[in-house]
Amino acid sequence: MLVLGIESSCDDTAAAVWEDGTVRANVVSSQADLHEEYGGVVPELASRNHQRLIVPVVQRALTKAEVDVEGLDAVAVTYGPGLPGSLLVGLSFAKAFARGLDVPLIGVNHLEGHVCSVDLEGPRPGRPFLCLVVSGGHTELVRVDENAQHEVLGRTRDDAAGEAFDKVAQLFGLGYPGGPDIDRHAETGDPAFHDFPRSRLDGFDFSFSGLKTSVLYYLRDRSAAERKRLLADHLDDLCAAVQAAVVDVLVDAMRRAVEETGGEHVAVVGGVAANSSLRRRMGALGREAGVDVSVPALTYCMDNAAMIAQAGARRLAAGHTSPAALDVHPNLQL
Amino acid sequence: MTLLALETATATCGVAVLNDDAVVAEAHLHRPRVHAERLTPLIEDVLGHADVSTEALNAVAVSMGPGSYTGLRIGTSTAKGWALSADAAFVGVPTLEAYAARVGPMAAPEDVVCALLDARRDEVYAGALRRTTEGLAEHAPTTALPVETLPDWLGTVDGQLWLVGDGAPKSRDALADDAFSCVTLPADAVSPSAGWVARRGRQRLEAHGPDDAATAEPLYVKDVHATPAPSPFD
Repeated sequence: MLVLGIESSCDDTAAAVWEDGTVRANVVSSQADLHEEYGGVVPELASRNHQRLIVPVVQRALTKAEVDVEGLDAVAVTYGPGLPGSLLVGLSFAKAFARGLDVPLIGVNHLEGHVCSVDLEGPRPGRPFLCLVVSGGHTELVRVDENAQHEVLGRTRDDAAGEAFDKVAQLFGLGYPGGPDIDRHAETGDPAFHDFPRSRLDGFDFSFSGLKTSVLYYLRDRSAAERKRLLADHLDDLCAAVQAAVVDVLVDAMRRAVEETGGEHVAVVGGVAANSSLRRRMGALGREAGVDVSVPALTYCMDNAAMIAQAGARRLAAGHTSPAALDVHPNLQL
Repeated sequence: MTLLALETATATCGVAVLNDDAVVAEAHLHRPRVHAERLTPLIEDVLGHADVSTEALNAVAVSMGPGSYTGLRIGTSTAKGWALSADAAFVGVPTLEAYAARVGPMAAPEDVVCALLDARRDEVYAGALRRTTEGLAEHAPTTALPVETLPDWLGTVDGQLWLVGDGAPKSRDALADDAFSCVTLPADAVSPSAGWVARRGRQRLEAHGPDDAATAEPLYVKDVHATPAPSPFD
């Protein structure tokens, strides 16, 4: 089965060609540079850029995969959650493209796509598995069963983990998105430099807004000169301390979930799964708790369309297709 | 030539099929916020009623704006998807050109048809065509402007001035002075039309050839106003 995947839920325009479990092309055009000066995604700018990029990105994926459009069996596309204008560009294009080719359209939940990203390469995690979906827009802990049904154990009540990195990076004068910069600086920093708060809520819910506020107060209570000197002398230490606060909370939740459910397989997916400390600490948790840990290759942690094609192919195999009247669902949940 | 045309720039969601010289099928919904859901099913219906298969499509024309950003996103992306999958030519038609052209047959030579869409606050999107003995010519370029500056933008009108569009009522006072004889057409009776996008699209194809679907962008007219985040320490 040959599936074209399309993803445009936030600020990356992506298309991929997937054939029976093999990714033949995976093209992502990131707009991060465009949004950097605003410290976050400007929805109207993102939508306009998707419009500019959708055809070149799809064409590039088809060319790289050496696929003729007539050979496609289905088109899978993200229909939520995400920014409405961004989603509309990908979904409108995909619906027309699928109808024009007379092949099935499969609407895919972006979060389900991330969960499926662990199946793109290497050994698939055994089922059921506990999956931490962590990105700039989402932080959810779910249990995925044999039939790919998701049971949400917990989710963030305010900011997502990646959003916390973005906001703190802005306070530190770093770029957008914040995660990669914080990760790089943290490599040579001392995580014990300052003890930022770790929120632990009942069950498996998360909260990261307090961390951002704590960093803000920590820096705001100094004169501008003092703050500048602190950031110049200890940026790496501060990044390491913030990263430790985020990673501790995520790893702790996963540890408790393993203990409580007796799970044997765990996975971490989404943009924050690219964080080197989180990957190391999850690996360590796996060894301590005797569970398998799956983390996708870095390419598949970021938003991409290969995971959408993978999820779409699974849905199609299960007999699901979407109607031509499919609309975007900006607040879709798992 | 078989051409599919889409009009989604306003609360009207319209689809038309032009076969050779005639619009053979068209359908319009006059409902806001249903375009994302209904456009593709409406296209399938209209193609079906026109007995046109995807393979038979030579071109896809789309109303490129100005208008609702959401509507333009849906129409342009959909048109690109059909053009690419059907291997058909893509052609963008300025929304106000197609809209003013709808009124063209009612106008006499030297009359000017001004299409006006509400652009919020005191602004309108405006475009104007002049009826000539040969057909229609641009009288004033598409723009977004405050209604009080409309007379300067419009310039001299030798014949009658026709106003059409949901921006016409708020523009009328600024334009209806002694200099013009002015007729306002109600927007609900004379709404944007996919049939006229089809006709203007065919003319554009014949005159200039197709546009590149890979690089085509809606005519937003207005830039994005985003300001860099303020310093959190101020």
